[in-house]
Amino acid sequence: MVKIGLEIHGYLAMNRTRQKLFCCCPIAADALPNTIVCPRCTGQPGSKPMLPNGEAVEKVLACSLMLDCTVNRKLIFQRKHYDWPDLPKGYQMTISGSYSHPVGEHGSYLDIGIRECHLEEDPARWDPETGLVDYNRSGYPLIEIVTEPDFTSSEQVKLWLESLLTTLSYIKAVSRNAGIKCDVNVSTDHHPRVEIKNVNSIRAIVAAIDGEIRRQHDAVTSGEKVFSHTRSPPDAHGMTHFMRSKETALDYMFIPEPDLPVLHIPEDLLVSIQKTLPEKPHLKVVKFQKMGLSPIDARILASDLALAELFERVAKVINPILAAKWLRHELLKVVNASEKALHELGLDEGYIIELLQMVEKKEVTDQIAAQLLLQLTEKSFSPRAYVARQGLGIISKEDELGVLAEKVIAENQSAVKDYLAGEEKALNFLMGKVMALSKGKAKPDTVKMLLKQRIAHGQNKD
Amino acid sequence: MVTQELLENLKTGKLSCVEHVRTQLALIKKENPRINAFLYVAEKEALVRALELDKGSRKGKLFGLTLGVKANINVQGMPISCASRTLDAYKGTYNADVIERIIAEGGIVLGMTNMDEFACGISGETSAFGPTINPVAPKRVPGGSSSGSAAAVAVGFCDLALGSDTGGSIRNPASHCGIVGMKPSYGRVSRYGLIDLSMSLDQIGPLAPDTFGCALLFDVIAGRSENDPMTLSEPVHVQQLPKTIALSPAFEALCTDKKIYRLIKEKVLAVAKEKHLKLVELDFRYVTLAVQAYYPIVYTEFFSGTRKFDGRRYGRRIEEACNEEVLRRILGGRIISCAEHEGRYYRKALRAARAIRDEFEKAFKIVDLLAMPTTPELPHLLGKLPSPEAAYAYDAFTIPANLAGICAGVVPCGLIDKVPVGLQLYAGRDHTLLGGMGMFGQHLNNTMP
Repeated sequence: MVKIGLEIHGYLAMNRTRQKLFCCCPIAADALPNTIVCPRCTGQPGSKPMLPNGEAVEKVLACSLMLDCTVNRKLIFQRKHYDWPDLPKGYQMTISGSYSHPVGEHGSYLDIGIRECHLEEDPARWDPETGLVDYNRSGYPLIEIVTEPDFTSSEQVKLWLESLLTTLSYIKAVSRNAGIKCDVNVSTDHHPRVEIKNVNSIRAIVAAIDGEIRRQHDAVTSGEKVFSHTRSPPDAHGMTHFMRSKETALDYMFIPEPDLPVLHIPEDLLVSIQKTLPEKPHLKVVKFQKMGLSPIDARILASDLALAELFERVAKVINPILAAKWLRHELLKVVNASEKALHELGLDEGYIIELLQMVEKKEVTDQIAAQLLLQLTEKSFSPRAYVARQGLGIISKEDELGVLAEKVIAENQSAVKDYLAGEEKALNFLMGKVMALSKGKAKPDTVKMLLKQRIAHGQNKD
Repeated sequence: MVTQELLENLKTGKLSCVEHVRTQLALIKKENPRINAFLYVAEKEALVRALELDKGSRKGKLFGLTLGVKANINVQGMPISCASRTLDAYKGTYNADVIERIIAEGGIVLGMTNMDEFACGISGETSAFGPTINPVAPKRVPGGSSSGSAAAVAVGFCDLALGSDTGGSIRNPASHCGIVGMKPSYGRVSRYGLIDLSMSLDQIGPLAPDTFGCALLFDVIAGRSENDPMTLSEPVHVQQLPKTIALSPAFEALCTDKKIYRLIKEKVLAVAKEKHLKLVELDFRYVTLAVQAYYPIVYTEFFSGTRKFDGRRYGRRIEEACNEEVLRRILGGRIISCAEHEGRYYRKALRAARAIRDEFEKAFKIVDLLAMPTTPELPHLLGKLPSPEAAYAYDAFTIPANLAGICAGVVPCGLIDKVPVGLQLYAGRDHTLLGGMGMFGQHLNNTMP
């Protein structure tokens, strides 16, 4: 039997303030080393922290609530002491540790217990090769989520982490591309647990878990005893190495931070955060499937909050399956090509709905609609008015299309022959020609019907 | 009255800032080698500043007044050594909040003053740069840890000075050097820029030759700052005159030198009569716990605060550069903070501090002022450093105010064996304290030669 628990560290996305946790230094990933620093985040003698960034506190509260945690309304920062070149003050300010009051505790997410949710500051970046310390990162707000050892396989961990990231991205607490760092605890067959430090991607986490299960199994079969200890992050070959045993575990000598008051979270702040929380992604997936969507469509639409919410509103007006098809395929294609996030495109939802309504009522062809969707990401306009003005409406009149069909048949006799010889693809070719002649406006069903009819008719005449 | 008159002369231009600074620089040059009050004299900076001030509109609450700054408060560009070799490679990279406020009100920083190393001392003798001499009683220690600030004011090197007070470090040397000193209520003055001794007890405060100067400097440096989240948000009030004053048998019992207590009592009775203060007696149960509760807090917080002096940035690793008392506190703090003790000692000490605070809070609902000595004995002879236990007990009158987070101030009240003795007042509010100190200041002015 395998038991796995995670300590997950992620950067909080500071969209509103774009500032560090205890000072006003901006958060900027691409700044030159040591250019966004102040006496606080470099730990100058005599400097003191400012009150923690309110946005960071709110985000951790939102995460705790999303993970069904009980929220502690009293926040007490602690000093976690250790001696390392990346730590300017000689201690890290964190809400975790002995005697701590976690921001959130006793939560649960997709059947995995959440032990604690915390807020803490990131240390600086130290390069052991050059000795350079870059304090730009020092003081970035981090969230730490500690699970119970409820996982039983690496596959389960993978799916769960992916889902967790989607959930946290729903509340814009953690950016999906910012990456996470995990301390992974693995225990097999009731042996003492072994911790692997600082594993920094989902793929590496899966490999570390599988490797550790194998390692413990091999150790036991060769007669060794598994003892509680900490192992290094996987090296270039994916191997972890012994770091320290429980006996030599670091003593962080936690004390409550004397330079900060105890922060009291007002009840009404919690209530207002709770009110803004979106529905969780996995619940959306279930809901979407009930609306008739395939599991894969449901999952893709739920993977991004803006997309999911757009779908929900569109599906109120038009057929959900048609809406899903258009949003999942055509819209995502356009969004991906734009290299922006959906919510950054500033799409006018009303016009999207208008366009899809026209598709649903077959007032425009799919081809025209797809072109219009692309144009809608560039500028805002009413598709209905535009179609009317430009004469882009669907052509379904049989006499009009009949002329086109006859022209195509006359000009493509070899394709006609192929079709008559039983090659269905040849009909598609002919249809494409008619569509092109109509500038994409011909109603495909009618064209197909007319082509078949006219070819058969020509046959009879002969 | 000295400070008030001087300020008027500077503001009216009767005395130019440059002239004033030059006179003091000359005195420092002559006498500092003997007194050792200044570790760094900002000669050039001060003259440039004085010149600028003379060209300006002669405004600001501190216009043209000069300040000595304890060497644990950051002034940009000056060596902030904490009187330790640990910080050999450190110069202030920024201004402490108090320095910004002083500059904004026209004050002139004259330099950095000597102190007990990392403020861990009561005598001014434990500086890595040699002891400060008591200018008023040269055979005795000047007191500490703000020894240089007190001596500099007493001898007239500067008009006012900043000190820091964690367990009496402003009041003790003020008493021994015969000047006025005040520890404001915790949170009244921003600590941003003050190098840590014990973060939940440290407070920056003024030292001055008279109560006017003390109140003036307090008024400039006090107030909320977002740079120190522990600062109080309520506004700073003007001085308020007290109506009642208490003496306490609990404190009388702590005074080893009975001559000191007699002098204090005599002055309290005289001032109460003259100023129509109602005199009451109050007892305190927990003040005897103060010294025992104080050291676990200081050790623990000092250990934490000094972790940044790991030898990677500012000079030498503190454990390798510091004196015995500093090391004692660091090692003690390390042991107390160990996980195996589960924070027991620190937390227990904080609880004791809370009990003491509650007791004072109750007391100051009944009275405005509490009077007592500053130290239980006269300052010891230079070079005769007492044992750590005796030195710790020496703070018995000053520590309770820090543990309770309340304000306390010292005014000179006479000489015993030609050695200055300061009378200490505790109060619930800073403005009441300053009002009371003013009363005593007036009385002593009128009665002392």
